[in-house]
Amino acid sequence: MTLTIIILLAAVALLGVPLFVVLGAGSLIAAHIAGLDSAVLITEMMRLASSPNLMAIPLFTLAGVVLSRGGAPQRLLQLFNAGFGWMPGGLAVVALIACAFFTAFSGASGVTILALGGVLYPILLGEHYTKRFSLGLLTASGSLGLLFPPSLVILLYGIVAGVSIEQLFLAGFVPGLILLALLAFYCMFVSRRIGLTPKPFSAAALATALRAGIWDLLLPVGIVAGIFGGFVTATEAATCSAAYALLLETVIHRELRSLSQLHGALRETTVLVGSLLIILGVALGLTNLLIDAQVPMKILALMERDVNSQLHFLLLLNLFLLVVGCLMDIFSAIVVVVPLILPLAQRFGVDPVHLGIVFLANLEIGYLTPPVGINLFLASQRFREPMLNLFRASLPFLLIMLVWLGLVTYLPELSLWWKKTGLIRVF
Amino acid sequence: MTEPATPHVRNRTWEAKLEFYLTRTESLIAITGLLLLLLLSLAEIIARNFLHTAIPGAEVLDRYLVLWVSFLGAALAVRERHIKIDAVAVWLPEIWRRRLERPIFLFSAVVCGGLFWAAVRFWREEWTYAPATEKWITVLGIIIPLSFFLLTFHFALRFLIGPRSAGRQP
Repeated sequence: MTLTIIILLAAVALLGVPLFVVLGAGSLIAAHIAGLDSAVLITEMMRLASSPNLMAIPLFTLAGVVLSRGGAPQRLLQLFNAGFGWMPGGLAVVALIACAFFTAFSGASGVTILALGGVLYPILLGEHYTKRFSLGLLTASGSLGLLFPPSLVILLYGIVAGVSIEQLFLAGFVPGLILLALLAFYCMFVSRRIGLTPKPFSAAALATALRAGIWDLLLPVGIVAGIFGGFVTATEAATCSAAYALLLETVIHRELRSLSQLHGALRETTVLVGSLLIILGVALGLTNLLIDAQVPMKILALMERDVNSQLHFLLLLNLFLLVVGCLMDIFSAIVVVVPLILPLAQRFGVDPVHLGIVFLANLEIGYLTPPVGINLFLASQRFREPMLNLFRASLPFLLIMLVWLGLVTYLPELSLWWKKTGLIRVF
Repeated sequence: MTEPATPHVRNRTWEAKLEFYLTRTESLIAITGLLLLLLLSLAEIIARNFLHTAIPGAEVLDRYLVLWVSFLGAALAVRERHIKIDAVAVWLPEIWRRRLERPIFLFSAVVCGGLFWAAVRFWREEWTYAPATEKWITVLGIIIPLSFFLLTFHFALRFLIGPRSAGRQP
């Protein structure tokens, strides 16, 4: 009976029923089977109102939307191009950095490919990068900044797993930089193989780009310095970011001049936040019922028969999460899967902060894998190319990301280095 | 995310007109809530760091404002886009996707109706047992039953209105 219901719910989910509806249906049925009043689901949902970090989600989203609509991606692109364009593979490296930068703000909603991909694609082709390489680079870059502050998925993982968001921001920094470095080396290698000559450095172009982009650049620098320096909490950083972004785009750059432009940005923020947090609210009820029914414990009992080391567990976790990443978007996966695997990871001695980084690294790769890799869809829409072509073009990047995933998973020091330093005292 | 194109209100059916005005009202309240949230949290930072004091009740108000913004945003997302897994739906021909829309809206309306009923009973209990000094917090919590009512209503309206024109977002 239970299995039939799960299969039916999975089927309606795959057909396109909103995820919160699927989870809501599952919760109502599970409460009914357990003989509980369905009002308990709302009791769990109200836990949202007691989460102090939740406020950071709408405020960081507002900052991202305002910056995106105010032309920050283009200004940053110009700045990075003037700053790094002279390097071998310069433009490709610029694309990587600009996309990573912007994804960290836009919350991995795919807006990076839409906002920057269209601008970068003709420039890359104009600089004689091959079509296949350019498409692969831009498709893969759409989710690069997921591990950098103020990434929304890190915030969401912190809230769902009950882990310090500041610690997660610290933990994601080095793995995020390593991925950027690996991909940048690959871009340099390809550019040398194609025989591209680097552009000369122009101090004048850098000065012009800096004048336009300095205010945008100050925001992430301020967030990182504020949080890592222990001056502000993640929530305070979110408030300051939203206020700063509004000031930047309405007063300094004046890109959002009319009330209707501002209204559009605020409305987009509410819809983005609403479609995300309703899933979280409904999932709280369902996961609580699953935990009451000892589902994680039963999975653990099953696993303990065959899995006897942390390494073995992490290997299985990677395989499982890669499949999850192929089938679910990152927000849904965090809300649904994290509460179930958290007790298992703790049983095998995996630090919840390290687990968070491994989890997000796997799902970052999921953005590039069919059937629901969102980057493939968006890139297909943006560049008018079949998804299979884009998947083929992204393969070298995907392979590099898999190597990186191995490093992040099996070298926990990359995520937890700060535990051995004085930084831990800040949090 | 692009906002949906809106043909002139006068040319619409009564269901579409109702949906249009309802979403405008929800949007207005959600946006006001978001701006209030920003202003209140800024005021808190200033009060805490420069005046070494706290604004009474501000923290609770912040958290409930997040719920108001989010749950009204969720009601708005019915017309725009909710997060879906749709791994199978994306491979279906356009005609089949459009045929699936009405049953999906109906199913969603029924589930949201169930959650609405659960939320009403939860809220009534909260109201009954809340101490007089905390009744205002219970009043703020009405957003949960209200939003599930709105979600049920929007999905039911969408069921009546039917599939969107081909050029529009699902």
